Amino acid sequence: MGLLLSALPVEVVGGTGGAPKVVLAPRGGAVATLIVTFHTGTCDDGEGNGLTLLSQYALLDANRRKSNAALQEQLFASAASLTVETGQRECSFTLEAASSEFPALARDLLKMLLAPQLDANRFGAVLRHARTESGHRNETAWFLATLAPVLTGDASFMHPATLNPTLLDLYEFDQVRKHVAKRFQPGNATIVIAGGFDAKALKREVMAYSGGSRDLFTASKVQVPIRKEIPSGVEAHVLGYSWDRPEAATAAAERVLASALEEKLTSRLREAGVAYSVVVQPLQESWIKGLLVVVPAHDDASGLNLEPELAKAIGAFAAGDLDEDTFARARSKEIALQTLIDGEAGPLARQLSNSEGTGSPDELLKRLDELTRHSLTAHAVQLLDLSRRFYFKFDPGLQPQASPPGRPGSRP
Amino acid sequence: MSLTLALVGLLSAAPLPRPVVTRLPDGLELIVCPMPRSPVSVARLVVRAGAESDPATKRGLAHLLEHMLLRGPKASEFQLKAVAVGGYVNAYTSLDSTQFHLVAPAAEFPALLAKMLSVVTNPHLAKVALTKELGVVGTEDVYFGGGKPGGLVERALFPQENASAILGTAGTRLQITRSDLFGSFQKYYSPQGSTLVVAGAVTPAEIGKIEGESVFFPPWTPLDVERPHTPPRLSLPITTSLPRGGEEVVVVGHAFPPGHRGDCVAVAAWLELRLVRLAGRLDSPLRSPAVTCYQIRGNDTVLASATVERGTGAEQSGLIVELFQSAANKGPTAEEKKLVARHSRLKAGLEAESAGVVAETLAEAAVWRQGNTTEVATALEPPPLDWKRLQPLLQQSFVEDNRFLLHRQGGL
Repeated sequence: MGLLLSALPVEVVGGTGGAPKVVLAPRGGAVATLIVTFHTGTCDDGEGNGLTLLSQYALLDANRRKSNAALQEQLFASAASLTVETGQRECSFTLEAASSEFPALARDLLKMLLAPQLDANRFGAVLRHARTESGHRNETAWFLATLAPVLTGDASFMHPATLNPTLLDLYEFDQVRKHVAKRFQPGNATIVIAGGFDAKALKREVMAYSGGSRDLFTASKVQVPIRKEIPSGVEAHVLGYSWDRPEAATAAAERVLASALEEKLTSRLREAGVAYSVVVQPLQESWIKGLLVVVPAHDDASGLNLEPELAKAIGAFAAGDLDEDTFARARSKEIALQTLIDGEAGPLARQLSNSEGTGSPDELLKRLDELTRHSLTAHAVQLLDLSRRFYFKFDPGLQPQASPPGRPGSRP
Repeated sequence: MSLTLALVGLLSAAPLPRPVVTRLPDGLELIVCPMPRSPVSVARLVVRAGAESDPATKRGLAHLLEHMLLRGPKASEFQLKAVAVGGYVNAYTSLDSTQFHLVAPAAEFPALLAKMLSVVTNPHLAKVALTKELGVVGTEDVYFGGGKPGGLVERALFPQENASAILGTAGTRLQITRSDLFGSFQKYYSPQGSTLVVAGAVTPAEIGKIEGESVFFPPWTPLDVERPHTPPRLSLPITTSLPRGGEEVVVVGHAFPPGHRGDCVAVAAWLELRLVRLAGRLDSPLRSPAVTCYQIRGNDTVLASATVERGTGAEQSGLIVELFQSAANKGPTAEEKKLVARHSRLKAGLEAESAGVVAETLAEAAVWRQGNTTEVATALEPPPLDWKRLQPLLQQSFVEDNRFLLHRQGGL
């Protein structure tokens, strides 16, 4: 269709026979990013909350492969960063560094994470670390975590905010060692590397690790349709659509649909003077796929009632009412963003890490390029069906008062 | 490192960007940082007047004006065009400045910059739109009024500026008329009170031409004198508690002498190395150690922070206080100098990869230091640690009377 598509291919190897799944996106450039994701999270903690977090910190703080002090100093000298995140079904380690520093750092980190030698004598430092930092999560993930137990009825989706640091002391080293041995195996890891690095050398290095296999969990069924009013400090409207279709086929349509819907809702609600920001984004969690709409706003004194207003605006999309200009802008935006992301190590690695099953960037760009208003409308009619909808109204009028929802996508 | 990677590193390392500062014929200061390989270009129009200029009974005026300048048919058309090519438009109001921010792919940037300058400097300010935008700001106040985390330090050091200083209150906002908006625009949005910062695949000549054709500020006359814009003085020493919550955090900082931004950055890197080593001890209760040269309302400060084990904040802040004291008494070792030089070189190289980071750094410098090219250049490339030059600065700065100490107790 005349647009320049420039995503480079991605190589995927391993993932069977005890080998980690490795996703390589060499792009050149001065920066490289490595994300090691283990497919285990707080849902696997069992009754004792905090086991995943302690295991992650044990890999860093109580590892004979390399002391955490030496690692931190190496990170400083290299002006590099290492981020630890703990999710419900996954947990991850993200290394970002200049390409010149990356090989040595990646080699050391991979050895620490994929072939650890845990040291009981350093377990005190692990407990201190967990008591000090109870795990970092991004805003959207934190927000979705509050919805997971409600949408699935699954009690194992314990919210990370419920982690009680004082209970961590009840753990003994051996419990953590066993958890690491069971869940933090190379075969249960996905490793994504993007940016400026020597793909051949790193692939050889990563594939040398082996053991264990991918933990397969049965995703709890999302209970839709559902509408709930939840007591909260402030009013907010959170709705979405859940589906379990083959993601690669619809990933492009979902992105464009989210962009088009966000533009329409933002314009309508800002024009009416009732909302500052509206977030619409595809959902790509291990436990839910679909579309999420967050409207932190309250019914207007002048008479605008948000729930029917949102239903009307989204209903128009569901009925196939999407004008050519809005479609063209949304599609062009997604193509441009995907093209830009392909040249940035960090964003590309994060996208590859979070898009299992949605296809490679070049495949996504091809699908975006092929998308027409007609085909998107057909998707919208199917995806935005009322039978797939969940709607949560966070209502300050209800008792008892509880914490307000998070603020995904907040603007400065 | 393999020979291939070494070559890749050499070829991919971008030279550090060199900003060019000029004064245009209409009086506007222009800072352009050419980064020919950058896929995106970034602009920040900095108006050196913010919420501090608001009359007490009309708090929120500067922020409301910022909103209104991006409202209306022309502004909407510009924003839709930017988003459609994968760009981003936003605006921010602080106590000291108002900034308009554009990010766009390099090819589309010049045309979009022309539109942004034309929209912002030639306002419409319709009365009907004002009523609606008051509603939007009201929602922003309820849901996003808490401010950015860095603002906590600023508010602790300037307690007289309460949380509503920028957005105002519902009462003060209702006092704002269309005539106030025009008055504020005419008074503060002048060429000689503004700086246009651009980083990316652009040249100063190209941007100068766009500015000449697209900026509609009132004409500059030789009689116009730029208002003095001096940073408000920090009232030190101060020891205070931040609102309880989250992880326990201690922050220790010292005001740094003005005019030494580069040294401030270099010293912060040196102290960070020492804090990293302190935190790396097996029995250390410090985590996430960080030291930065942080600007608080135009004042450079060396700011050290760390998360600490709950209940130990008061004790641990003593360790960080000692860190500053020892630095003032004894200079860096040869080994520290080498590590810090490596860290700084790599960090500057990484930052030079991002037009957004470069533009943000330059815009920060532009709020207070218009035209000082030395300060602007060293903000991007700090000088080496030179103890002879640093010793008197540190002995002047790292004293108790010049210190602020903030402590946030952890909470569940």
